[in-house]
Amino acid sequence: MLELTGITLKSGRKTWLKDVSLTARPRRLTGIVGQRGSGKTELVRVIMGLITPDEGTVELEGHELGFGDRQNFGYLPAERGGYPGMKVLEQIVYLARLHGMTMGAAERNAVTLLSRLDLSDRAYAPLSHLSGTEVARAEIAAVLAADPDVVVLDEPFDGLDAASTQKVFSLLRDHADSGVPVIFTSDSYELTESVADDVIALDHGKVVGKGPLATLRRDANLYAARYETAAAAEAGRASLVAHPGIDVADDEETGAADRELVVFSASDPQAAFAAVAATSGVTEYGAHNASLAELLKERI
Amino acid sequence: MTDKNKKDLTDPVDPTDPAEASTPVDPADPTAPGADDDLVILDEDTDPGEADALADDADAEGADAAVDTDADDEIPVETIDADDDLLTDADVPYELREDRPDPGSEPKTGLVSEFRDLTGRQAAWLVSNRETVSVSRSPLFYVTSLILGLAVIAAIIIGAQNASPEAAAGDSTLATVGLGEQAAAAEQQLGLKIKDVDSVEEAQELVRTGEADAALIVDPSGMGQEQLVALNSKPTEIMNQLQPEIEVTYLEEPPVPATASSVLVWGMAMLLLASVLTLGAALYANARVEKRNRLAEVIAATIPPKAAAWGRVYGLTVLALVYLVITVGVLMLGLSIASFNSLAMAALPGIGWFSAIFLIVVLLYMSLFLWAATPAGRRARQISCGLIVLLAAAGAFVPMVFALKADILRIMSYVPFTAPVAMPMRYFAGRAEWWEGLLAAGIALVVALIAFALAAGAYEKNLLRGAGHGGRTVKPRKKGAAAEAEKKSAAAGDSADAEDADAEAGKTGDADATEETSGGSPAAKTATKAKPAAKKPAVKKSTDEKPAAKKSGSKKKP
Repeated sequence: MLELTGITLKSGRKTWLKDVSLTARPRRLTGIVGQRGSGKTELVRVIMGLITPDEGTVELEGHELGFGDRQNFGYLPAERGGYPGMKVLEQIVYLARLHGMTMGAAERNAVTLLSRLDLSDRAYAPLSHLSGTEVARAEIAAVLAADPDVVVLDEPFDGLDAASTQKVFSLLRDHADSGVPVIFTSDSYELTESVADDVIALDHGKVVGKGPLATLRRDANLYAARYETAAAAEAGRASLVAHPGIDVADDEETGAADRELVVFSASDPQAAFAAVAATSGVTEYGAHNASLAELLKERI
Repeated sequence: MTDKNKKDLTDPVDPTDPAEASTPVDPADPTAPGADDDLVILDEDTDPGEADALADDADAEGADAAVDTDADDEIPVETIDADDDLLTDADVPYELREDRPDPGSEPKTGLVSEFRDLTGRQAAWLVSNRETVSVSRSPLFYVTSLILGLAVIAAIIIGAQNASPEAAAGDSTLATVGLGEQAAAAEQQLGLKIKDVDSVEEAQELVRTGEADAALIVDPSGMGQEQLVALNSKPTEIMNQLQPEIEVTYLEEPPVPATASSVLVWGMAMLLLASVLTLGAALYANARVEKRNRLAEVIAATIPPKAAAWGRVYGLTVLALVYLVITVGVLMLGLSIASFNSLAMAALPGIGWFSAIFLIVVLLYMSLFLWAATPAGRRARQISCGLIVLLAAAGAFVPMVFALKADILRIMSYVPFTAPVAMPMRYFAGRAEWWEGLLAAGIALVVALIAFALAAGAYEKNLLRGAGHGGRTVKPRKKGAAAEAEKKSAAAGDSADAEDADAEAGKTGDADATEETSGGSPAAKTATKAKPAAKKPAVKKSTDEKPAAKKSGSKKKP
């Protein structure tokens, strides 16, 4: 288990990360999501020991990490390209061997991964001859070839098409299932929602939400009521707005185009149910299955 | 019961039954046996209620299966029992094992983990090997090697045609003895500067100190023959003026004739320059690629940065050795074929010391190029590279300018940048003791190691500079292409590489586009705690988190 506690990173007057804590558990895909400039890359670099934070600790299995501990961390920086003149297979083997892997094992893993990522026929091509999505896949293979103990990927799905994303996700899932914490960053809430087991949402260097999606949904206390007609929904909305303890989201906030749906947050589910029941024309009522973007919208 | 005991069996066919195993089952076919079953593997200590709960959980999560696996039902459930008389993984070669992995013993990734302790030296070797292989495959390397070999052959042919020693052209001075008032007339007649002295010894001293190119010794009795005394090379210009030709006597007979020495020295200078420029350019380019594509971060997180820096410098120095072997090999072979064995033997000490000092000085230059590749600012890199190229050119050719100035040449032979050329020149002229080459090599080595230490420090310190916000704040100028570069950089993400801005600005010659604020950057705090890999604390992964069998038969690095 990789644990970051109270990470603060400053540069002059700018604070890149402020009191960031996260836990990446084995067998889980932990997605760090946030808009560009939210501090995702800085957080990844802190994990990899490339930047020493002003405050906070990075611990693996309960002890603070040193340089040697990270030797078998798999790390994918945000930039792509690798060694353009080097052959794909050679590059993967070379990077795996830097982790201390034997030549035979590195070659075998490289072949396995290239096969899984549909790059077998490109194994002996220089990286510069590959397309963007192929390069992105090859670099994922290079990260995983050393069978790392912890996987840290900065924007791994950048430059990947839908099919490649699915292949990479499957690979990461299998790697996580083998008992490894997998951490990745993304600026796509939709993608993070569909891929990650645990989510860490960053905004301007601060954590604005973390945990499994189900927990985030539960903590948001969002409920939805569906009415027979849009007019009934409007009436219901007006009634709920007037009700103390209920905060009705407008359509702009939820991004909902569904005029018959009213979404609201309430700290007391029983009171909320009673309030909805008091309105007429309700056809459905229950906890709102909000998207990650929807859940985090108010916090960012 | 943990999650790993829950298994989605899409194909419940008994794998031990050949007849059943050979029957393909389409998982997409809902009528296929077990296609919709969500079964639970029951341990011996699993109670029926727990089995129900698990199955219900699986249903609630929207699994394909909808079959209730109540323990009371008569559904045949495959259980994996440790006591079963089945072949274990250890009995079957890996390649022949069944495709269906047994959770807990075989990772789904299909990857193997065979590690060994990687020392800093081994890491440096891996890096140097990559550098050597990648550069040696480049056309530039082949072309340079070919040109060097051809140049040596050409030099041998030219040298063979004119193997006699002769002095360099120029305003020559002739020392004479006892001409008195006739000296002025002789000066006019011969068109040479005349220095008239009283004794033969004084005339010889003028030749030794370089004040005169030769001394004309005339027998006062008029009975003996005239003698022309030179230091160690034929005074061609003076000889042309003196008719008939007078035999030359040398005060210091050089081991290597001046013509041959001149050709050799030119060859050495060219070899030094070609090696430094081609290999230095390759090192610089590779270092920039690693920085631009953030591979430097990957390497720095994996192996000690100093090992990476050393591997890079060392790898290219090894390629310089290839250049050296090619040129010296062709030279020696050519001299042997052209029957210049004595010349080859005479030149051997000079060539030997050249080789030693050359390799050390290439190491020095490679360190300097590494240093030059580290700054984030394009202008700083350009200036650094320009200075190194200038230094290399001057170091190769300036000693030849001072070939006749023994004292200056002596000093240059100890200066690392000029030593590869100056020291062999002195050996060819027979003016250097055996230990002087050793001393020059020692000085060059010390300077090279200091330069490497500084370059490695700069490499480590500047690892993240120019690599985004976390490394360094980039403030392009708000005008022209640089401003566009800034916009692109901002749009490129939270860690937009300053290289982009560099490149954009460079196109319009606005190299200031990457000027950045100073101090306070997190990169200034870039971890410098690299320690030898062997000393790293042990990190053990629990077998629960990662199957132990994954590491079977392998030595996993702690």
